[in-house]
Amino acid sequence: MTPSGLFLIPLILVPFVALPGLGASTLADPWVEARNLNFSAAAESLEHLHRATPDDARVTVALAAALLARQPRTEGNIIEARALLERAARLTNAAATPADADQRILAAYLVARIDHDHFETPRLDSARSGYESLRLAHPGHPLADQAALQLGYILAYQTPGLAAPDAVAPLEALLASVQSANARRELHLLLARLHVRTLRNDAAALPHFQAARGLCSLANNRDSELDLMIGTLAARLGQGSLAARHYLAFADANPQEVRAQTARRLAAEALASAAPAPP
Amino acid sequence: MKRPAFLSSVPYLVLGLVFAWSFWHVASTRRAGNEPGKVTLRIGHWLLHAGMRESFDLAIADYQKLHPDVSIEQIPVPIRAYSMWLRTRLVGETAPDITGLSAVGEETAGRYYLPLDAYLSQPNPYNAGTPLEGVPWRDTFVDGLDSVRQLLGPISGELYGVNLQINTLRLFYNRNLLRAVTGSDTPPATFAQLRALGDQIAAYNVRTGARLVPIASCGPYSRYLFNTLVPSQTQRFAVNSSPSLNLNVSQQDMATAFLRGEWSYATPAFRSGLELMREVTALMPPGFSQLERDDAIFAYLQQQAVMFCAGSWDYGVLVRDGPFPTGITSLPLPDRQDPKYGSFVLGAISEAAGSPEAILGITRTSRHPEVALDFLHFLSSRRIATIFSRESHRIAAIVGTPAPPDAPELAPVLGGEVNGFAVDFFYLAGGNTSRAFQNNLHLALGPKGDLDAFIRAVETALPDTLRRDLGQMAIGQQREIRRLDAQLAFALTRPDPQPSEWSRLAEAQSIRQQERLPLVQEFFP
Repeated sequence: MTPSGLFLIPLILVPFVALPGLGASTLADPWVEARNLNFSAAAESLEHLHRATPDDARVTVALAAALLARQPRTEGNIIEARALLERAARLTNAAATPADADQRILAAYLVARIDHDHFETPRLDSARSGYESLRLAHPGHPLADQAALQLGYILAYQTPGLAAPDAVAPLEALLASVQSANARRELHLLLARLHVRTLRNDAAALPHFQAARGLCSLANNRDSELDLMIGTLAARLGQGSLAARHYLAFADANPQEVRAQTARRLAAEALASAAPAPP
Repeated sequence: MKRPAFLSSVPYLVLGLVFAWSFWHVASTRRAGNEPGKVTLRIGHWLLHAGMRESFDLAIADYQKLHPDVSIEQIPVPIRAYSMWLRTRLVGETAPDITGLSAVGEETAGRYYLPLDAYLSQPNPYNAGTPLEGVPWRDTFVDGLDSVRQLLGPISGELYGVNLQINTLRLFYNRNLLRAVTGSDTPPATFAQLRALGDQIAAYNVRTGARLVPIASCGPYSRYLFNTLVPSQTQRFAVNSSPSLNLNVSQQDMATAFLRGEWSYATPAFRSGLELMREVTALMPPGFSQLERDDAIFAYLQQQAVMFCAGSWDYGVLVRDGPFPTGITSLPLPDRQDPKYGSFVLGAISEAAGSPEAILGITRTSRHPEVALDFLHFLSSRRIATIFSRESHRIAAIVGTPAPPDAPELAPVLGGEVNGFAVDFFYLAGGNTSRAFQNNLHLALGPKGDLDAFIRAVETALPDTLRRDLGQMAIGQQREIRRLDAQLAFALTRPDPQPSEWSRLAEAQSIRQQERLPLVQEFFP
């Protein structure tokens, strides 16, 4: 190096001297990072935790979840996540608590979800078998109910050769078998959609919409949207007072919404149509 | 010949000096931002329109009077560069404490901004002594912040920002020119009157040799205009034929109905909407779609156009720079009596919540989030909202805030029927169909426009573009479904598992699955 090239040395060194904090890495709380959708940071922390406690099912499941969502998304991460989950689902511990059991069920559920939705080519047979095993092994568990819902989606939309009318009975059987509000509501909506959009059977759809509305939703405004759907279907079916009740429920809950006045007008029209004709 | 040794050192010396200067500059900026005992807050935004920076300055001065230990610096960034500037700052963890949220999706909002839900049920302390005293912060916004939540947190349901203002679309008019043309400064109230005014302006031009254009416009603003006019023709259709049974037609519903051949541009309501669009473009300058906002404003301010269709955000500059009085009116839409367009109309439209503007959020890297939150409270208080409204001539999003004293017509019309939907697929993921629509639009417009040629050209492209766009949409939906699996797992592996959070996420995932699976089954088996 020429003597003048020595000028470069401080230029290279200064950033490291001036910004010592850059080199240090502190591990963040992975659950906080995941809540902030920073799955890469969550995975980094969880890898440390997992190395320290490889038999902790909770940490293993969380690490697998982070691998599923970290960017860039790679097949390798998904395969690794699946392997971790399979191992977590099999973990047995002499001092296992109900919470540990829940983690194993969650791990089994996620294995089926990976087969269902995370590979570029879905492994539907494997997913179906995973969901069914979960339902058999843990009937009544909320995740087993969620597995039933996923089976419902496979039946309705991902089973080649199964005609829509033939999907109704098995879907209703799934609905009858679940207890969790989420699975019940979504299965009702799946059936309602099938009846309205595919089978064009408004009368069969209406009770499913009503049942779903009865199982209050947590999503923003979804109950109000259901009110409009019930109002519209009921009006089509000539059930004026039912239509009016739901149109008004929408308008009352959303007085500032752009559809509020239209909903009030439709309610008035539905009521008028329901009123007995003057003698 | 050998060069003197010191000459070869010059480049290194220069480099060293530049480096030393930039190091000093960065260090001094950081020092200035960290005066002992004083909190420095930075707010970055793109709101450079007339009156906005001045309003921020007034609010900042007021806040600093109340809190002498706080210094607030405003960083206005031109809107064209804003998105890139913001992304760079967020990724580099050098974003200001508060930033405007523009072109930010849920993933970015969730990753870089603090959720504000925990504070929404508490009153805004700066509303003390006003009718909003004690009212939960959320309820001090005209729409309870629903539109911002829908924009930034449709899946998570989280709220990452608050909007200070709302926008409406208005027809601004030059009172002097209108009087010169018609003998009165009463603006048109219906589309039929607007059409008649166009004829009067043409006659005035012939009579006086003037070259007045009825409506100054440009590419983006013409789209706003079309997307208000055309829905007047799909209004009745949307209510009667909504595939989702909710008085609305989503982009996905419309795209799938087109692909199935159930709807087309020959559908009477759609064709009528296109006809209306064709007709209104006859009132605009030739080549309007190639013009930019500044060109349109310039034409109006130079009195080359009688009217200007723009957002409420532009009124401030018209007042400040226009050497003539500007009037404001709602966009004259066809009414039910319109002989040509009336049969598709339900009635005057509701603008209930307007569209949210000036959305501000607190970045996760803020070193003083509590001060930033306090300043957001301050900015969204009734008193400061009134100052913003007066100085910027815009509509505040805070309940009960008076409209700008000189422009009450900017306030949204609260009563009215739901509007229909636009037919240009502008919001369909991928943008291929919208581009096909825009690229062929010239066939329909102008005096020699041929609507049938336009429809033929667009509908030839549609099957392919719609498939590509729907494919893009399905990919986006799947990305969300996958991410929600991870979020669900984290909700159940937390040290303190929260079943309600799990239920909310599971429902969000179901909503996406019910959107995606029928789409994939039908079009991408």
